[in-house]
Amino acid sequence: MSHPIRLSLVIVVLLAGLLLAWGVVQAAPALQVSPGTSGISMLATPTPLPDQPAVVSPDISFIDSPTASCILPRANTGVCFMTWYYMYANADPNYIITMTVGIDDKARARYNGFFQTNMFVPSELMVFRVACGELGSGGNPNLGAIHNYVLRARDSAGLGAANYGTVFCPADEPARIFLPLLNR
Amino acid sequence: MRKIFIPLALAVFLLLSAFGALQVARGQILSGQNGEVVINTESQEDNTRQISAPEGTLLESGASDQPLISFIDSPTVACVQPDTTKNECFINWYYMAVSADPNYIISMTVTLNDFGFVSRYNGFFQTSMYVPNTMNPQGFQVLCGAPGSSGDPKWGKSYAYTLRARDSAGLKSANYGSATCPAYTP
Repeated sequence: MSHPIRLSLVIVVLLAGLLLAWGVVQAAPALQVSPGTSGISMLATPTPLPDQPAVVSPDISFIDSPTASCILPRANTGVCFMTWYYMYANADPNYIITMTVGIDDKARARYNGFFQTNMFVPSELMVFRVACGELGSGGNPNLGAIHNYVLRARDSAGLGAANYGTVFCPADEPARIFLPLLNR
Repeated sequence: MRKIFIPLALAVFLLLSAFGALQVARGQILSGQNGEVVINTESQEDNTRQISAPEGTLLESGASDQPLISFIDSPTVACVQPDTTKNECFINWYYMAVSADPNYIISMTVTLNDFGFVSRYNGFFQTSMYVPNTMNPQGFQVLCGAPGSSGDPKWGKSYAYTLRARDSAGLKSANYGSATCPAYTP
């Protein structure tokens, strides 16, 4: 191999090496992994081990679901509506995947997360028609039917949270219209 | 001097050729369909969000790659069955928000892929747009579907959706996801 060609190859290798090193330095910050994505950063500095044994604590919170209600907007219809003031769960730094509402062993609503570490569901998105029931049907002589509910939340780490409760409704039944008996 | 000049010129030529080939390849990767360039995209399970621009508006102008339009913030897509005696469910979002400051937001749209456009919100000299759930009264009515119609035996039908926003600089933001509804059992 002639001398100029050999020299040019050496220069190419040197410049290519410099470019590669520059590229690696530029790419290092981009290898940070965002929540919900999996990836291995070979260039990142390993996380130091904790000084004390890690305390096992779940990342997902209890579901905050205050003021479970059953309201009778219009008497003599037998129709009541169950709702909550709001529903909230936090899974930071993981993503919330779903929250669900079940009433009397039946799924009534599902809320899907979208790149969010917590979920807030306002009362407008939680209105469920239920039967009011006749007086005393739920066991309380002053009220109507009782309804069981289950609220569940699940995060991207596979952790789950659940609230179980019951709600009494006001007693109400559809009005009975008595038609007069007309003889021909 | 002449001895070093020829190898140096040859080396620079080779490197420039390699760099040019890499740029062509990179351009082919970034160019999407319809002359759109995807600037930023993220995926998590079934959800994807993306920012795109017409080809040439950003990269060729020498501007920063940082897009001016934001991702659409659309937390908590709900599918609710208010009445178990009816095969009626309602899809809604807690809210939808996007910012394009200093550009104007031109429009934001909601598409349920099974039905097409179900709403369009037009900007009016505004650099951001916020759509609360109360602007979609009750939500968008769909069929709840039979148990297992989405693949999960506990749930009903699943609906894919697309949210899109566009700003006055031609930048676009889109969210792709799905809402799964409670099942209807007569």
